[in-house]
Amino acid sequence: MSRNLNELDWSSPILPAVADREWEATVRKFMGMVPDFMTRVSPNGWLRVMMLKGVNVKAAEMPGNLMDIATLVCSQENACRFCYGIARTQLKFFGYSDRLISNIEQDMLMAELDQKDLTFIRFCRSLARSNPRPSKAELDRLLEFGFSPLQVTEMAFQVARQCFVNRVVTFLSPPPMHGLERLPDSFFGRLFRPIIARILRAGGYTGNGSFEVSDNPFAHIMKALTGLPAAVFFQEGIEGAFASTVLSQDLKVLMFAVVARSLNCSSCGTICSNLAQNTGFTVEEYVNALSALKCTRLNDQEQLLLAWTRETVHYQTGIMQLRVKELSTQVDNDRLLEAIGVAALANSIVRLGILLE
Amino acid sequence: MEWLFWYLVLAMAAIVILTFLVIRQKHKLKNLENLLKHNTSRLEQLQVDFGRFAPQDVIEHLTEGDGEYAPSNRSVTVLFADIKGFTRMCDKMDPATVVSILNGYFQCMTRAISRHHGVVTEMMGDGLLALFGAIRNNPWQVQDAVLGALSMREALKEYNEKLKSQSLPELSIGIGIHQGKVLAGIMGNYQLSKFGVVGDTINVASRVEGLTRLHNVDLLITEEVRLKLDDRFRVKKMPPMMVKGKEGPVITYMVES
Repeated sequence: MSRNLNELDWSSPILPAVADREWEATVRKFMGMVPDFMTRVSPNGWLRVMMLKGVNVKAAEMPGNLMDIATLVCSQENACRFCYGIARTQLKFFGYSDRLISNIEQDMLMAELDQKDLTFIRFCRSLARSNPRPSKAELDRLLEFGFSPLQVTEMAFQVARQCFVNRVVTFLSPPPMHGLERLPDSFFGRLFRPIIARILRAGGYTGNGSFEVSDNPFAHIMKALTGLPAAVFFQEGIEGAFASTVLSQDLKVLMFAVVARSLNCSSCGTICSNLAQNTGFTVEEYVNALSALKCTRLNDQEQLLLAWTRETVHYQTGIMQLRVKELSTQVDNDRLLEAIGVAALANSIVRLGILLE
Repeated sequence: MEWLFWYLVLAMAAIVILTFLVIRQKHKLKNLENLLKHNTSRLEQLQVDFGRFAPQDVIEHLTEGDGEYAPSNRSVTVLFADIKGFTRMCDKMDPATVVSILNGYFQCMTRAISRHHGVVTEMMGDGLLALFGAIRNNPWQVQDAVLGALSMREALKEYNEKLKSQSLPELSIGIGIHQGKVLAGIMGNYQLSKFGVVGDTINVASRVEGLTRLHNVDLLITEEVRLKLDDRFRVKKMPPMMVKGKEGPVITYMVES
């Protein structure tokens, strides 16, 4: 894992930007600007809404500064050049010095970081990496340091949410926002830093008020997230992904199953197996599909997407972007975009599922 | 008035001394920061260089964890490969040419193996040991190992074309694949350690690789591996053979495609 922003591999954009004025107006209203990647996800209804909410979810239980750190650490861990640059910029607006940012990046035991913060940072890294999957002992250690169970849940959500955003952005490879990255060090950036920080802190997705766990396949995870904006965020995402008709239900179920199998999450595996039966798979068909990563129920393009899904669990950015580029010549844009969203969502949901086992 | 003068002098002197001390401390701090930055970049470089000697994931565990890599029993697919008749070739050829052929061979084979999620953990003379599922959970390790071996077969064909064009002798290899439990961990002492695996599975894979010479084929898998393959793979059963360390005969299959 590279520690330096400029050492991270990054490709040219993979899917085209699609102009949609109405969508751009919505994005501008929420974010104050239209980042490039928002125009690349615009053709997919559920994914674009998830991305808009996912880039800034307001912390309900955790202190904002720890949430900022989690965003930086996950982006670094997932080697997402784009998100890493934005996370660093955001921290600078919030008044973090270059030295403190560098300490966080390097896990250094410095005066500014105490054992509690370091344990938190290591947990974020561990869950983002999931190799090996985070242990119960890691969760217990966080509780021992005085974090409440709901705070730990929000921490896990923050990592899962950032893993989702990192994956979508990495697979799309939008150009890094160099102008924005330079802003905090510029004269105007320094001058208006407190105002910008206040605006950034004030914004963010807060959920939709009342929340009820719906009859979705991963309801047990939503139940654990109840009380946090996280629950609404992921529930709407799952419902949107499974309601969409761009990819077949068969493929979406198999993509979740592949990620569950890769991360060795037995509870998610069981859910996927039940989902597959409801979708019409015979046991043999499902077992064979998971074993060979091929299934006669899928069309040619979907077969390619299924085989690719396992690579989204652990990847090297440069190699992955080349792989998605290769896929973009074989799979049509709408399908590829949705597959990127489903793979990213599956990786986040299963990472949360692991913690509940 | 005199006391005021001396008071001011003393105050000025104290300010000068304090300023000097602050500047000196800042200078020291700056030097320490530079030293830290320098050492950090050296460590990162070392980590990159070390990646040539041990799998990257193992290095990350060692450098970012508490310096321990807990040994564990895991189910792993083991691939053994060896160049047939290499010792004879060494006797007849210039050592520099032999090393160059060998390096080119290892490069092609490693690429083929890593493309299918395998990790080459050892190169012993002309032999190599690759593991699938040893470092990361890999439910597709058996298929990956066989696909990796088929890629090695293709890569060798291309490499042989290159050798032929340089009027160098072509290589022929034997590959043995077996799956089972191994003990994986960092082995050795303080002076010399390595990431390695031990267990009967390794011995069986090595013996099966040896059988490729007796059966005159290039790729053999055991019954344990065949049972986990899907119908994409075409295999041919070989006559059971006795191998060293096993009481009964070992059933193997040649992978055709």
